[in-house]
Amino acid sequence: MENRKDFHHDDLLERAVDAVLRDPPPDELPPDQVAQLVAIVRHAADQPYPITLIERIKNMKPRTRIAVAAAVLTAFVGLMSWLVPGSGVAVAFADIAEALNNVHSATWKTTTVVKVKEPQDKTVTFSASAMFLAPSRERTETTADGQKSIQIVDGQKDKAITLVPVTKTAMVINLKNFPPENNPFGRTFQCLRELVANAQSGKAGKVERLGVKTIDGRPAEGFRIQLGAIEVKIWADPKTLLPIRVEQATVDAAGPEVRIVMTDFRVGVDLDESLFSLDVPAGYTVQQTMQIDASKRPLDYLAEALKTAAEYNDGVFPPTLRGEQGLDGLIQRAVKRIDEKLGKASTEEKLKQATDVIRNQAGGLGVLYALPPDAWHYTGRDVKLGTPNRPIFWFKNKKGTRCQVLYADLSIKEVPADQAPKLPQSEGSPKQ
Amino acid sequence: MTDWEAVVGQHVGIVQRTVYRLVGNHADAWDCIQETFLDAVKIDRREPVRNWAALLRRLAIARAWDLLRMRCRQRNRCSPEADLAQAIGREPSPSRHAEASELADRLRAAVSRLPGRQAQVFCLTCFEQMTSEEVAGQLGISPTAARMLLCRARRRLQGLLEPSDGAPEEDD
Repeated sequence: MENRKDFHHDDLLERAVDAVLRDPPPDELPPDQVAQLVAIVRHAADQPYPITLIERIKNMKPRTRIAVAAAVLTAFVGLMSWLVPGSGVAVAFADIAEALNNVHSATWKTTTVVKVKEPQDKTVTFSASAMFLAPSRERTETTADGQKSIQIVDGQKDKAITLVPVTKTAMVINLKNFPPENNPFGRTFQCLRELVANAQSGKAGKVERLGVKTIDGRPAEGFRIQLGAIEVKIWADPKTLLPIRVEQATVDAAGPEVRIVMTDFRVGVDLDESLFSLDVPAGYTVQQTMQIDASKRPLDYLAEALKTAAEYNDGVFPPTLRGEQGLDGLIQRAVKRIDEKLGKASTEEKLKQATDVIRNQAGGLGVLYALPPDAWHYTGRDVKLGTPNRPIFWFKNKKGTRCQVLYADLSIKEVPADQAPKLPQSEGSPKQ
Repeated sequence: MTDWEAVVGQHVGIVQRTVYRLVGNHADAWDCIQETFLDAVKIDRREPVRNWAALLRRLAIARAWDLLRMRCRQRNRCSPEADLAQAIGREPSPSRHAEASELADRLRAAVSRLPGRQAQVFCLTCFEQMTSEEVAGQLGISPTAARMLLCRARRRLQGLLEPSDGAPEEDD
């Protein structure tokens, strides 16, 4: 009986499917309707990217999200390395060798590989072509996930721009309180040469000589330098001091593993000044603006990042500082909350809030990258934002004599090293 | 830069046939065709498209299924289960053609009650006549998963096509 019923059901379904398939097929669309469809599709394809940043981040494939985060981070790593005292870069920036400033123009290529372990292993590779024009202008054309973006910076101006040609959109970064002679923006090439000079003269701190090897048929002298949580290997021409190959890699196992390789250096290249214009080109829409203030202390940036993390975690600091639950996963958590909170309205407000989160996240991570991985401690797990006299993060200076402490009420104090907080189970190094 | 004239020209026939089988009328089919290609524009911006036919067929089924569900929801505002009752409860038509047409409508209404993935697998298998391996390739799932989803879809549709059945919707 049961079988008969099943047979009846199956028969009915088969007949229904047959009925759909036998339904007279539609006539082909007439040519004018196809032409109308082509026009509609072309019009949509020609429009600037119709969705906002927050929706783009939400819709991005994980690899694209990582690439975006890494691209933002790259800018901040340089900034924070410069700002954080004792990270080792300050010496290189401070001691500019006059003889090395003669290069008027240069080009090189950069390949970046980002490996993320959480929530699953992923590797993203993206490449860039960069140009330098004296005194401090740089243009970097990055391709990630088939989409090109162009960053233009000028160390003597108070702004930088990022352009996305396919969407005709621009992001403007306003730089505040940067000393013109020491502005790290637009100085990638100069800083590299300074680093080579300082390494060769023994002024760059902990420099390990790697000996001489042949790269692309040329002799290259190698140096290994530790800059915060980043290890830099520079292979330079012993005669010209020009870099031949530069490798940067993170040594902080808690966050994503980032490896950047710079190759194909050429100097004295004829570059048109218009390539370095900071004016937003005609036809582009400014989608975001961002401000970076150099007068802030490094811990101010971390405090802002942790405040944001707590605000998107019901007022409690995140359980860890790095990884998916920490600052690395902040934008993903925040975008979900922003979307829930603001619903379909207030697109501009969503965009603003997402931009603020990205800026704060990148600032906080920049501080962590600039510090040696065994120099900091985090004890914010389950601590409520605003709790007085509760240390949540601290690090000691290079000499180990002073300690900067960030509290749960976001106040910052500098204390003698022997008065550093002593709390068990802190994230970071077991060394106190 | 994508040559949209060529993409539309080569694939509009497939898209039209796919959506028409599900929605059953020209006006709704035309809406779904436009939605399908506009979705394709968004995807093309995000990543390179390797197989236009597969992508457009998948999008066409999804948009047609959305429309069927919307149609059902509008009918359901008066009474739950009204969509199926309306389709199922009609008096049999005297002509055989009308009977087949009514059965087709009942199946369309029932497909709108399936979870999205089951609907995709069912339509690709039964309407587009694809094998489990081909369906799996189109949807990025294993052939075993495709067969399992098809089995669930068929069982659910069999129940929905029976006039007395009013089982609640289930998830994938």
